Amino acid sequence: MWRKQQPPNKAYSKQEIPPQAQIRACGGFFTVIDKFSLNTVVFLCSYAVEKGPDAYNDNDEVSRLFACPILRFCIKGDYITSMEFEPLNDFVPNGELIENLLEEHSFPSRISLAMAYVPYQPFNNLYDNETGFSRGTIFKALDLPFLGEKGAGK
Amino acid sequence: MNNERAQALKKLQIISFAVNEAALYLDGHPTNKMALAFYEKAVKEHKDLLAKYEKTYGPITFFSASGPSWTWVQGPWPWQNEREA
Repeated sequence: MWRKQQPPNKAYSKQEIPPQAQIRACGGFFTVIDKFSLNTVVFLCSYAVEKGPDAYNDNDEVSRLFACPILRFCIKGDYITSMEFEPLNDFVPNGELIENLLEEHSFPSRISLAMAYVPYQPFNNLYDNETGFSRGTIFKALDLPFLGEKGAGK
Repeated sequence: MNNERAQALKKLQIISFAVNEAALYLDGHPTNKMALAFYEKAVKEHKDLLAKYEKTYGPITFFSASGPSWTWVQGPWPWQNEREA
């Protein structure tokens, strides 16, 4: 689905986004037409802007991807046609990794009304094994201790 | 149970937990490559730590009990506290 990874010495690596990545903006909200959604791309960009190279982490490929500045992405009509990344410390975003990531941050297409959905859980942002053991989960995002009244929104 | 043994057992529990977490994740995301890689690495580490533990302190389960005498009964029983063991 993705083009092969570019050689690492290029100034940037360009990942072609497949035509299925069709999105449609819809009054400030978005509807996922197929596999990928605009919010995913916006999420990737905002994360990269927010974290910058500080997000770089040897142990986490996703952090490394997020840390790669996204130079630009292209939308033509309802299609995201390309994304360009600046490699960081010789790390070049890998098409397969991006594909996994986009999939994990997208809702499935053709969802029904009046049903509740749980977002896909990405396999990233992990505790080290020892901390995970003591927290009862290796996923930082799932470390949600019960706080009783303190946790209740007022 | 002496301190070193307790430490070794805790390490084993920690890696077992990591394997279990990855397995649960993979139940819902069976093709996730990062989870598969994590699982494989953790399973290997678990296998190594288990072998090392059992070699030094005896079997963890009776599936690996063996030898000229029944090694399974030589370790501490679950109701034995740390001082007794």
